[in-house]
Amino acid sequence: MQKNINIIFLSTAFDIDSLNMLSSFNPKIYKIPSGEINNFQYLAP
Amino acid sequence: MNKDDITILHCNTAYPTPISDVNPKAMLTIKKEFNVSVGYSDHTLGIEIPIAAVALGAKVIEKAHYT
Repeated sequence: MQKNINIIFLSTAFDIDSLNMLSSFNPKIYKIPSGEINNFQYLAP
Repeated sequence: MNKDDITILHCNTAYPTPISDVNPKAMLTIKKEFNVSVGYSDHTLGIEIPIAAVALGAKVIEKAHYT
């Protein structure tokens, strides 16, 4: 018996290299760490 | 990007978080002030707080794990 659970995976990247790697998985959603909310280089892509 | 694409997560910065420091109603204040979806980034040791956060309307739960 199979059950479908509607949960989306997410992961947080803490630097731009990690963000690029994470992007390669085409996530449906990005989590931005609070320390990076003013980091335009991080947010721009 | 518009407001509908953003969810703000409430978090307590003590890791792991003692239960006495937890206030999921702060998540509701964020919701009211910014008029966005909210979630809860949980760093307590159990699962009761994320359950309470969902009951209060959290759309996203982040659960940190400590070994």
